[in-house]
Amino acid sequence: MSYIKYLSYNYEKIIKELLNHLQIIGTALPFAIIIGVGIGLLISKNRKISQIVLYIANILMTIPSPALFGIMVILLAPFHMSLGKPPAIIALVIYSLLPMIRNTLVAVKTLDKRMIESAKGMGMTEFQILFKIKIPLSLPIIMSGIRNSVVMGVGVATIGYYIAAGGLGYFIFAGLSRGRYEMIITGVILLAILGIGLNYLMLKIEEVITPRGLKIK
Amino acid sequence: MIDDGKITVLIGPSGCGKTTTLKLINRLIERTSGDIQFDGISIDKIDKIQLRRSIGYVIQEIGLFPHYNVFENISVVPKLLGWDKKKIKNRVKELIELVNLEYDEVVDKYPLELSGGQRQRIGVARALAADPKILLMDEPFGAIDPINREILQDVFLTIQERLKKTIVFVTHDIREAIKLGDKIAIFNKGTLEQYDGTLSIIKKPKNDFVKNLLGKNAELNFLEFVKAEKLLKNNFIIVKSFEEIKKLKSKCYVFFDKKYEGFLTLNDVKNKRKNLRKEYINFDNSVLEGINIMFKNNIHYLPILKKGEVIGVLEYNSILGE
Repeated sequence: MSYIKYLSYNYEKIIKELLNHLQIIGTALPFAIIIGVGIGLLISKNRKISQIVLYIANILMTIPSPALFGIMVILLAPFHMSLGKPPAIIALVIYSLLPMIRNTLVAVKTLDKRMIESAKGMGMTEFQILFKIKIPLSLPIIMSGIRNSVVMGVGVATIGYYIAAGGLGYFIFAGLSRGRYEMIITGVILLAILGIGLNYLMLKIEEVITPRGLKIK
Repeated sequence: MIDDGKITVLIGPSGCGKTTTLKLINRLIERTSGDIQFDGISIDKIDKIQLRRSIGYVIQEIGLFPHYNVFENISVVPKLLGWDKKKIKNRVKELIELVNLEYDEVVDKYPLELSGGQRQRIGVARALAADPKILLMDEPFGAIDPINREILQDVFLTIQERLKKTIVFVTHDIREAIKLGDKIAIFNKGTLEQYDGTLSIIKKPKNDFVKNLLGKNAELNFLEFVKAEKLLKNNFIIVKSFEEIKKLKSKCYVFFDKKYEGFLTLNDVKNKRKNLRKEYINFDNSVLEGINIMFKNNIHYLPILKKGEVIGVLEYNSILGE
């Protein structure tokens, strides 16, 4: 079957799985941001704790993604959610944590200490310093951590196919087992476009939320 | 004891405790013993945040927030205190003009768009925003080139002349200390070596450490920053012509007939000098400039002029006596 023919017969399925893929990433993202950036900000004050947390996040990163999806299936079995989107989303959140925590830590650590002290000396509360100074100034670096997570998530989410979460993994893995190259090519092209597209989108967002005063060279 | 409305300079080598002392005042560092009081109230009894909002704080230029423009930077404390918008706007305008910058030119700029000197002026303006009684300054002019530093110091002194804030100023530059300080506190390795009026310290350094810190030119440094009018003497006589001199006995005769024409010293008169000496010094020039003129012309007196009038003379012998 020719490639064009395959597309025209299956465009509904393609759109469906594309949306599934986006849904998995899109659902995981806000959780990953809240947890990852939150942890990063919380532990940034303590060197020891931040080292330990980074260490743990590093270990989680080394678990092969199929294995992590498998572990999720087992862990969620008691809650009757072992198959489908929930385990895929949770696995993706865990995977995204490291770049987010790491970038948040780096961003806060590289802030000028004298500036923070100046803010403190002017009578800002810890809360005001966090929201008015630390977060706005860290935003560009935190955002690039989020961008890394998202782009990585595009690839990792393909594993979702194995645990019935759907997504673009279907075209690749089903295509492989059936020896249908047009399916594999469709999946690869879509994944590539999605990765590049999301990367571009996130870059644009990064640009918009970077405070004006920081863009001047 | 820090005097109201005066500049107290803390000086010493790095690690001597001057910055620590400054931070104890706004409780960025907490004391382990002793007490600090404002108008008789221990600072421990004042809420930390309120205390800091009522004290201006300036550090090296880096202290401005890069994501805030000039307006936002200056209005930080007024906003924290909940001032209304109109009041903040007026205040920001007033402050930018106070530090000698053009409001329309800088108000929308971000710190990275300003020069080092401009940034520092904005830093001072920001510290003054909520009209604090007390100003803490930690080497505010340290990162600025010598020429602009002099200019900023002059602007700063003019502002202080008007506002009369109680200022605690940390520096490691003895020239700056002598120029700005009404009083100087000299620190070494965590102890206070000497604390006194600037002139008293120069005249009576307590020990070798203080002497070394002041350097060999302390007196001349000091005179560089004293205006001529501060040391004026009245032992001169105004005359209109040579005839009048013969009846009088004074060490200095100033010729004045509607305008300053020149002067003669007693020695000149004895030596029958015929042409008048034309030198003079303006009231707001430094005493050091006056001494320079005296050296060049080998004279011990120099008339001081203010708006064309002779207001007094500089007398060489009394300068060193002061």
